[in-house]
Amino acid sequence: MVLKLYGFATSTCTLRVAVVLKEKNVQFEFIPVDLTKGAHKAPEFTAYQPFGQVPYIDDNGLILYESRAICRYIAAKYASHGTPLLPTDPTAIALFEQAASTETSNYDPFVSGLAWELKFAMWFGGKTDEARAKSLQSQLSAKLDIYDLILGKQKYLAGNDITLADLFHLPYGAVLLDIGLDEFSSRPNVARWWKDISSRASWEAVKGGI
Amino acid sequence: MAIPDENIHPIATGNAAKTVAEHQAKQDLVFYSGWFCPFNQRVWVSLEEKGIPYQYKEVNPYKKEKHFLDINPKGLVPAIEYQGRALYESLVLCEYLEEAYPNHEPRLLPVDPFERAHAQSTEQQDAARQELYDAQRKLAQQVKGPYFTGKEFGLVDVANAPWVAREYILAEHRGYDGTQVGNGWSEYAERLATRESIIKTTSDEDKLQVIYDRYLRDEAQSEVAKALRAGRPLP
Repeated sequence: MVLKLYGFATSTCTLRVAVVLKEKNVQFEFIPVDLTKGAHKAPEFTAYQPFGQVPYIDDNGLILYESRAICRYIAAKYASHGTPLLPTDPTAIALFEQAASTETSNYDPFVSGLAWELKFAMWFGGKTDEARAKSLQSQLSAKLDIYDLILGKQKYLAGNDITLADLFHLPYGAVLLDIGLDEFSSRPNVARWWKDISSRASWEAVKGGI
Repeated sequence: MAIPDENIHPIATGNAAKTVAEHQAKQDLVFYSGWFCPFNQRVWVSLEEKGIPYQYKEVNPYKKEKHFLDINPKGLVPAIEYQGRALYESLVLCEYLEEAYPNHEPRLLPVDPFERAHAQSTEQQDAARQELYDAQRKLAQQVKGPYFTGKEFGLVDVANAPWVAREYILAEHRGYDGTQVGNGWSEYAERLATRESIIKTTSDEDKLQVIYDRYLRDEAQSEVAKALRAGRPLP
C-alpha cells in the first residue's frame, strides 16, 4: 500500500516531508487536510496527530508525525534509494545531528515566527505584530551571519555532502523570499548554499504546492 | 535606485487573505494575481462568484517569477494558466471563465447573443470628476435593478465593482461626492460594494492606501500610471 501523506498543499512542514519523498523517489498519496476549515482540529485528525498539526504519514499502518522525524524515517528506510540524506558512520551522524539541531534552534524559531507574523496570521484572521517581526528579523540576521562563517568552510551544514539538515531549511526560507524578506543574497556563502539547495529538482517539483 | 512602488505590501490582507488561504491547493486553473489591482479584482470576483476551483498565486509586479514570464511574457496581471498556457486582459479572462465553465452559476453574461454583445460594449473608463459623474449617471440610468441587467449579477457589475470599491479614496482625496450622481447610483454602488465576492477579494484599507497614495501624488510607476500620464491606452 502506498505511503499516505496527510497535509496542506502549501504548508511548510508538509513540503518539508514532500521534498524528501521526492529526493528519495518514494511514491506517495497526498491527502489534503483543509486548515481553513479547521480540519486539523477535528477528532478524525487529532486521533492520529494529537497536537492538531500537519503533516502526518500513514505508512502501511505506521502513523508518524513531526516533519523532521518523518524525514529521518524516510531517509533511513529508503537509504539506498535516491540521494543519501542521512549518514551511518557515528562521527558523520554526530555532525549531521549538530547541523539538524542548528536548524531547530538557530533558524526555525525566527523564520517560522516571521512567516506567521508576515503571512500566515492573516490567513486566520489575525494581524501582523510589527514589533515582534522586527525583533525576529534582527535575530535571524545575526544567526545567518554565523551560517555564513560555517558555510565558508564547508559546502553544506554537516560537511561536504548534502543531508536532511540542509533540506529542512527550504520551506521557511522560500516563504520569506516570497514575501520579500531576503536575508540570503547579502551573505555570499549562504547565498551559494541557498541557490544550491533550492534549485534541486526535488524542491522545484513541490515548492508551488502538492 | 529602487522603484518606490516596489515596496508594495507583498500579500493580500484582511478578508482577501482568507480567500487566498482557501485557494492553495493545486488546480487545473492557476490565477496569477496582484492583490491590490482593480482590473485583477474583476477576475477574482468572477472566480469567486462562479465558485470555479483555482489555485491562487501572488505576483509581485516588480519581481516576477521565471515560470510566470515564460508563459506570459508581457508579465501583466491578472493572468490565468490552464494546462501550461496563459491568458491575460481582465475582460477577456472574465469572458473566458464564462465560456469555459458554463455550468458554474451565476452566468455573468446574457445567453442571448444580442444582449451579450450589448453587455460587452458597455464599459466605463476612469474620467475627470464631472465626466465621472456623467458616466456614472449614464450607467445608473441603464441599471435595470438591482443589477445592471436586472435580477442577475453580471459582467458589467463585475467590471465596475472594483472602482466602486475604491470610491472612498476619491471621496477622501479628490472631492468625489457620490450623492451628486443621482439616478440611483448610490444605491447601485452600495449593492456592488456589499456583494460577498467583492468583500472576499478586498484587502485591508491601510495596505491599499499605500498604493493609491502614489497614484494620488502622480508618483506611481506602474504601466497603467505611465499610460495615463502619456494619454496612451491602458496596457
